[in-house]
Amino acid sequence: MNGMAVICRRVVQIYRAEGGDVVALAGVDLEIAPGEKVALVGPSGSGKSTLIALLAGLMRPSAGRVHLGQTDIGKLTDGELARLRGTDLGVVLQGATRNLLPYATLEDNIWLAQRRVRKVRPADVEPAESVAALVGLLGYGDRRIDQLPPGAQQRAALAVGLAASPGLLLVDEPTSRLDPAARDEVLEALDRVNADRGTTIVAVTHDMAVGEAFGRVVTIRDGRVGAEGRGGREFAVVAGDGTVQLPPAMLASYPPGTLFSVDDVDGAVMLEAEKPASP
Amino acid sequence: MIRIVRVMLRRRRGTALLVLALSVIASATAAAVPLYTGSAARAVTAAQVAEAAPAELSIARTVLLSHGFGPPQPEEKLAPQLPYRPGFTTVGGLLIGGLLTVPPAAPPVADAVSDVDPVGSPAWLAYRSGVCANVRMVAGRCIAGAGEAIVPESAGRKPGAEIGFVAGTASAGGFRADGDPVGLTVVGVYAIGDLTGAYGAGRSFTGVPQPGEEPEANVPAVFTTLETAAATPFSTAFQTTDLIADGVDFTDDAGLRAVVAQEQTLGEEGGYNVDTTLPELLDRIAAQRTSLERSVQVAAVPLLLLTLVVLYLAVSSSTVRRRTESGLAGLRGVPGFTQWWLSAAETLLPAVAAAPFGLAVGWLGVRVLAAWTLSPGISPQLTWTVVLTVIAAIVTVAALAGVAVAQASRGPIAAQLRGTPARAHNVLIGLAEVCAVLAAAAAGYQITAEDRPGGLALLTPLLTAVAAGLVARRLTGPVAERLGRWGLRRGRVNRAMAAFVIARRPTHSRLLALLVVLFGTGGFAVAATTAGAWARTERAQLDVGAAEVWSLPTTTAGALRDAVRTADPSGRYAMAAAMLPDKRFRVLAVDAGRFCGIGYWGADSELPQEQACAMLHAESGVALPMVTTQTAPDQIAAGSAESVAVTTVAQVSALPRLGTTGGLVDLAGLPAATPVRQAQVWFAAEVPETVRAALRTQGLTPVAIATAARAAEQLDHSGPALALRFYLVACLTAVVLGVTGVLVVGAAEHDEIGRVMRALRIQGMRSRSVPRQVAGGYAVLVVVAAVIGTLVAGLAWRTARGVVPMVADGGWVPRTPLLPERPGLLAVALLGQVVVLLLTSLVVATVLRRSVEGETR
Repeated sequence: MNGMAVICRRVVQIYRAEGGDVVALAGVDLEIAPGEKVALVGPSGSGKSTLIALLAGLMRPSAGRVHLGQTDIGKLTDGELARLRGTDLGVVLQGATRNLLPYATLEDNIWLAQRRVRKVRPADVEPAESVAALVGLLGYGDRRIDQLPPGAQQRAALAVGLAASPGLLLVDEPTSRLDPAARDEVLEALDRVNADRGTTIVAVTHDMAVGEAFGRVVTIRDGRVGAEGRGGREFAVVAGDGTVQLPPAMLASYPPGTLFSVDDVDGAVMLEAEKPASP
Repeated sequence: MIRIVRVMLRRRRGTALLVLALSVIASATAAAVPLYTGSAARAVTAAQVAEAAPAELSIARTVLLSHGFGPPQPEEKLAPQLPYRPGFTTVGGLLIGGLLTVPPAAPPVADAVSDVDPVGSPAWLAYRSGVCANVRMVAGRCIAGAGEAIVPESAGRKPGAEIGFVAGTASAGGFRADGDPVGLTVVGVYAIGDLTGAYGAGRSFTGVPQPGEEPEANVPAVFTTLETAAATPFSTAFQTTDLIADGVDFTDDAGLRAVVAQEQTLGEEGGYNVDTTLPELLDRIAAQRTSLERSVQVAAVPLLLLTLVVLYLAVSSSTVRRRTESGLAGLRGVPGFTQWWLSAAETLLPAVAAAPFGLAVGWLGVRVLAAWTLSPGISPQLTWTVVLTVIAAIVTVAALAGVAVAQASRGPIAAQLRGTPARAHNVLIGLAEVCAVLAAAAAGYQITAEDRPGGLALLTPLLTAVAAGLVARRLTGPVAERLGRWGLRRGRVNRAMAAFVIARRPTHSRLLALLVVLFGTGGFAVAATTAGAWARTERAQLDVGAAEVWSLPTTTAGALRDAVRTADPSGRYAMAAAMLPDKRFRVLAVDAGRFCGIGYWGADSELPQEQACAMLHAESGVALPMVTTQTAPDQIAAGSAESVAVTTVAQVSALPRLGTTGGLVDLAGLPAATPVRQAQVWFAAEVPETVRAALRTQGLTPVAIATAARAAEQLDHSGPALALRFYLVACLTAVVLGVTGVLVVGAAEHDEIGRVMRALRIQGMRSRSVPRQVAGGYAVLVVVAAVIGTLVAGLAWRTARGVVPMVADGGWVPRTPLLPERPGLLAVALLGQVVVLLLTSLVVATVLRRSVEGETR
């Protein structure tokens, strides 16, 4: 399957908690082209994992719309969402073993993940060995997951996420707790999948190396898209409500309440802070 | 998929084995119900048939042939019809009444004994098919040709003797000889007792076969061949056709009733008089079987329920631990059936695999139980009903497992992936609790409101225990939480932590509910079993009247009383008693001066026995005082003497030997010459052999001996007795389930409590505090459950002891006592259960401690 586009429009997610409601996403606007690789970064609690869960259909947004390809997943039933996850959407959770039956072989895990697509699109089903080969685990098919080294387990998790040949692969912290060699193996595998299949990949990470490898890095801050980096350059992003977040490093110099004048000069936006009046 | 399932099973073989074991118990319990019911029903039927009167085992046709002393008839004309009925043996016969005399025109027989009446003694000249195969010859041989005869021992003739027989017509007290005498040769002497069995079909071969005739009016039968009987000139004779039910297994109640009805119709159409009391036997068997089946089914319910609850605990705690796997399958969009199968397979496969094992275990268990409780030689029979019951049990287990899996797989996939337990259906649980309490209340009301409660009332002990268990479960959390805080405030950390574990882990409150049901039903079962044994003994004692009772030939009241008083002048061991021949009202005359020391008296009688004895003493010239069970007539017939005036001095619910109908008078109040039938001698339990010998010396030789012990033994083989034994065994087996429940909860909470304990150990908690907190928590649960369960059992006993089946023959039953008959046994059973469960708790705590210590290091 070809890569799948992702479009988020003013996505809001509110959790209900004992102490009151918690706003996890406060209006996320994001567009990801088919076959693109995007790394979502940001501090803990910024809403990255919530966004991934929404894209995976594990939650429904409190407001806003999430489109995967042509589908508004907010309108899908649970059954349709399950079908989507079984065919077009690959999800790899943080922690390799959370994605796998540890006592089963890699082949069995892949077989289970292909169960739905085998019924819906049997022609798209690749042999387990091919899927394993895609992540560099050729010959590991009959090995039990709990007998694999950590790097191989993470790649096995990727293999399971890719087993149905999805158009979109969502990966949460693909390189956490891996040594540099294992991390490189995983990144190489993701790169190969993207290159060979054109699969759109969205990864949540704290690892800057992942961001560098992906090229496009979206920073989530306070439940919004705070910034975006492309080709080594950092950009501020205009949100759907017209707001623009300053880079965190500047916030110390411009405390909340600071006034800016905004001027559009020949296509360049100039922000000029008002100096406080002298006492 | 099979490969994954196989791997899963191997990975979690502990859970699989537990489910297998519980499924085996469930299916074995289910199989045991029809297996035991079938075996016990056969035993009960066999016991009833063994005790049945010959008239209850036969259908007797009789027709009067009038011949008017005409010429000898051809055999074919006199030979009775011999219809065929499967399971019945047809016995044809011919009875010619007359007098046994010395042979015509012959000198007196040399070997005739002195008591032979030279005029002639009443006798039947009888032909009966198969007589040689059914009577035991004590001398000589059986008849084979014309002119040969066999006589009973009482006839006083020996083989080789020549006798005469004169056919006669019935007159008062015997026959009037009217015909010509015929000569017969005695070729053998038979034992009269053999004719009192089924072969005799209830005919009075030792008496005139007319209703109401006294059995002591002894008219023996002289058996000959049909040829001989046909050659004898007679005026009237009885042609008989008896269907003997000697090959019937009495399982087809409707079929046998149909046979009786058909035979009665056919007989009446053919001019026969048809006599049978077979339907009465069928009624008794049906009553016994119904009581047995109903009671065994009710007895199995607690065991089955506890098994299913423990199974649910095991499966749900196992599937909750695998909630992340369920979420994983959801994350991958695995189709619903595959998801369900992966979750349920490790429960369903052991459950299905358990069916044959359960069947085998059930069969073996019932075989062992049958060897203990039933008659020898009765073993369980495998029928389609048994197989279908096991299948139903396995389907129930599978459905329950399916529900547990579905419950554990409920909720959002994200929550499943985090392993967060699904939210409980608080509304449904609350409704279930309310329903259980209402059902218990309804059952209790049914018992108090209905004379013969059935249905729900039979489940009162279980329903009460379930309701109490659910209420206890509901209260456990808040109470334990408060106790925990109280303990913390006072620095009692171990107690506080034990209370918190109980308060915060829902499996513990479920275990409490389970244990309450266990103790509640177990206590009731022990009480019911001991009360049943007591009631049967009471009933047997009252049925027989004394520890031992001799039945004697007819005599007079004075002779009987004098003989007994002479043999036992102390008055401590033997007492004379007799039934008076009043056909309207049954009256038993006892020697009132000795009755209090020898005769049994109902334990729950409204009147003390000493007072009854004092009341029975009569003064001459006034009406005879009588203690009755109902309104009595003013006059009672007393044999050939004038009617005796009686007056009721007291009324009680039951009397010895009479049950709930009849009256008791003083034998000494009767005229000495009063002839008494069913004369008896009653003995005290510790009667010396010298008293018996002295009685024999006085000429009192028993024709039958009954003992209370033997009567109690017979009642021990009745349907209710067998059902109560099954109930007891089922409830004791439930202790195994209680132990399993503790182990299941221990395993379910092992990881979580272990995590908490490890954290506390790292914070400095002592090593020995781990088992103290864990075992202490279980100990509290066990003790609380024992207290609540015992109270529940007591409440259920107070309310529902009346529904416990004691006897099923519709006869008198003593009121079930409120206090247990054997409190010691009850205490031992309770203590035993507590100790077993505490030891199991200790094992769980020790295992956890080792685990915590191992990982803390």
